[in-house]
Amino acid sequence: MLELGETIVSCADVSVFYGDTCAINNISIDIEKQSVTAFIGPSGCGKSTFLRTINRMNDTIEGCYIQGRVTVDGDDIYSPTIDVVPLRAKVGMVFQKPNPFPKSIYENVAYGPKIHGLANNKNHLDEIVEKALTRAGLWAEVKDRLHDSGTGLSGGQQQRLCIARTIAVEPQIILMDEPCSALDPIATSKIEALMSELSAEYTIIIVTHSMQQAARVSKRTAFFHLGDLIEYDSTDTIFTNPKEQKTEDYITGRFG
Amino acid sequence: MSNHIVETYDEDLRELHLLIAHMGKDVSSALETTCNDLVKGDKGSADDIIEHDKDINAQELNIDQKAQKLLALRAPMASDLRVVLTSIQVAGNLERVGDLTKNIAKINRKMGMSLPANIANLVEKMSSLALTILKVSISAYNNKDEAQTQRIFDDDVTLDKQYKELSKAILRELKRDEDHLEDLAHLLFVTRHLERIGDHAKNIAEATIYMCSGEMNRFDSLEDNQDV
Repeated sequence: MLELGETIVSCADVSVFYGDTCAINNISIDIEKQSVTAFIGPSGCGKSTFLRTINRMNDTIEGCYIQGRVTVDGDDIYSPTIDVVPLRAKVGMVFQKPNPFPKSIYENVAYGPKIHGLANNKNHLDEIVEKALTRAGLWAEVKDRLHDSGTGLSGGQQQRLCIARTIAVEPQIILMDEPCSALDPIATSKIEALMSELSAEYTIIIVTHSMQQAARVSKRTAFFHLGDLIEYDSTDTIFTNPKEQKTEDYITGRFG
Repeated sequence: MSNHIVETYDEDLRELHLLIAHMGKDVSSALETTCNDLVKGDKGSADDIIEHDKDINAQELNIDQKAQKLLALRAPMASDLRVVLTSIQVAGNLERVGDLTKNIAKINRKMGMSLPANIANLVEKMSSLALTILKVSISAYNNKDEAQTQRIFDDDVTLDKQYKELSKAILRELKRDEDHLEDLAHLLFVTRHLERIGDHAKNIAEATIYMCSGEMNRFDSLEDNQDV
């Protein structure tokens, strides 16, 4: 039985449908606070769909609906009283392809705090931007060109800018959907090192196709297959001695 | 278990498996010849056995290199990882058995006396059991057969008892026959080597259990719980 510390996300009997198609089949899982949890599995297994249920990003997909209960910090996030805008600030997201706004580096980070009313004045906003860029390990590289376009940065820098943009609104959870798949190994290492540092303050859930990455960065790993949660255990156990044959077959490259 | 999607990965693992099987056969065959010759007082094969140890050392190096390459290039996981890790352990233990066999062959070459009947009898009994334990451990590893390993731990306890019995018999002979003091002292080393071979077989059995189940076991030998 997997032992978890304090839980921040709790999913009970969650199913997700795209029209008549069941993408997630009755999954229950708890996610530990301030640690890194990896979701792995072959393409189409539902791991990204499941990730997006945690900040209701699936709401934007027509015909998509969910059954079951998802709580973040004890609140049922599918309750009719929940406002998704603050929810998505609390549960931030970093995507596969770096997607900075076509604005300056400064504006990319300042946008969220501005719309959420987190800054009292210009100096305060400057502080928030500097702090977020520092936490994302990007400050030293961009502090002299904050007003250059964010899209002019390298891919790895853009992805760290997106992480800075996410943490600028003080989330509790950061969802990462294959955040390194478009990056080279050096940029990937920087993001992985960042995940490790950020997990002291934030809960990180990462979807990754790289099993080495899951093994390197996460404390727990969940393996999904065809919409089912096959196995959820400590990352050590999953990669050295998984209990389920399907997990073993997938991680050793025998699938298919 | 089904094959890997990448066929060359299967080929690499199969090659490692064959190398271990070959080394195991080589090492146990050398031990069998050496022990038979020692009991019979035949020195005919000693030089070949001593020379052949170089080949056994080279086999270990080759297995280590193949395993390193697999670790670096394939990043094995789960059962594959355990296969590669244990191949290094097993090759290391077989190499040590090869060294001990070489030492027994060197002692055989030096021996000036014929073994007294009671001692020859005990050496034969002990070497036969050490060889059996070694062969069973190699077979268990090659066949990924965890069930075969239990008898190795039981037999090793018997081997330890035989070691004590034979050592005492040699010491008695030493008191009686001072003319062959050097030979008998060497023979004490042979008993120690045979006892150590049992321990290496036990290490291979433990590696087999880890490879099959992921469980790391360390069985205390009888001597760990007794006074020296």
